[in-house]
Amino acid sequence: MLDKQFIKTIKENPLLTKMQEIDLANKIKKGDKKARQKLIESNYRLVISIAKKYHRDELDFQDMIQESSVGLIKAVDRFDPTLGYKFSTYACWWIKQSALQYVNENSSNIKVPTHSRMLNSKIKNKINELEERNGKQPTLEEVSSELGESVKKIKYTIHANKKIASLEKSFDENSTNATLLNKVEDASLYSNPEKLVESKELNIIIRESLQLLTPKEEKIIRLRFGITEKPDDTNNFPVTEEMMEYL
Amino acid sequence: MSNKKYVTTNNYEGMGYYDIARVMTDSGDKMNHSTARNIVIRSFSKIVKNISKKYNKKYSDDQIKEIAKSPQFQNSIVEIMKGYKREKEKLN
Repeated sequence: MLDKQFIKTIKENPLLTKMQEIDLANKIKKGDKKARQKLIESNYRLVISIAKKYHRDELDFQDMIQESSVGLIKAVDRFDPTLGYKFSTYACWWIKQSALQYVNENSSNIKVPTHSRMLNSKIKNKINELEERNGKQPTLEEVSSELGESVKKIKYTIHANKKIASLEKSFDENSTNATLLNKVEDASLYSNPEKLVESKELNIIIRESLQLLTPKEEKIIRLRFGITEKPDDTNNFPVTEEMMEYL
Repeated sequence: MSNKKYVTTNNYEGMGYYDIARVMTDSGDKMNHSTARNIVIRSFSKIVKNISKKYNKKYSDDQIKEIAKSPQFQNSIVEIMKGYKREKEKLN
């Protein structure tokens, strides 16, 4: 999971007391780089704890730690000890923000805005809560009135945050045929013999109709729609000066 | 408002009517851009007439022209022509 160097750094830097944090923060303000490093390294535990909370199976945990550490660095650079809070109280919001941003950007192939993901998570929690309370699945209207959001927005958020499934992914590790692709209905013509016959018949009629065109008419249609007999047939489809300029 | 409409511009990499007229004139068939356009509509109308005849459907000249001008109809015919061309290439 975590690399040895990272674990070693954590072991070498025990938790700081409030006084130590204030001392280090004051040194950082004066430009002490060592103090900055010390404050960062002493708070890696916090990063791991938050990253674990937001980690998903499809994400790389190492990357998640790295991204969350960016939040920690931001917190170290912006921490103001004169306000009287503990460093961890301030830092956890920055770390959470970075972790959530990473999750949002990498958990799906389609990027959904963070506010929409947050609302989706609220909707899910509310649905579970209402289910437990009433013993039945809540309607969209109920969820909407509880959250104070419009039904349209809730519908849209649920739709936008749907999980993506690969057609190639197998449900069963032992079988290569158990893919979603094999479960999806084939709506093409080949699955409906009657339609296929009709389509073939129409195709024949259209081809017969094409025979009715004079060579001149056929040539004009070919020119109009860019259909050439052969790719290098420049007599039937000459390259004009305009086309040359475009090319 | 006039009911006259140009045949809708296609999505294919074909030529404009001015270019077609120039090419046809260069190869001996003197024509201008509107003649080229009229020939395109006339060709598609011929196809519509033949199809409706085969399916025993009676359409007025205006209806035939309307179908011939429709981009959906034109696209389908062009796709079939392209498929026909591919098959011919395979046979050669």
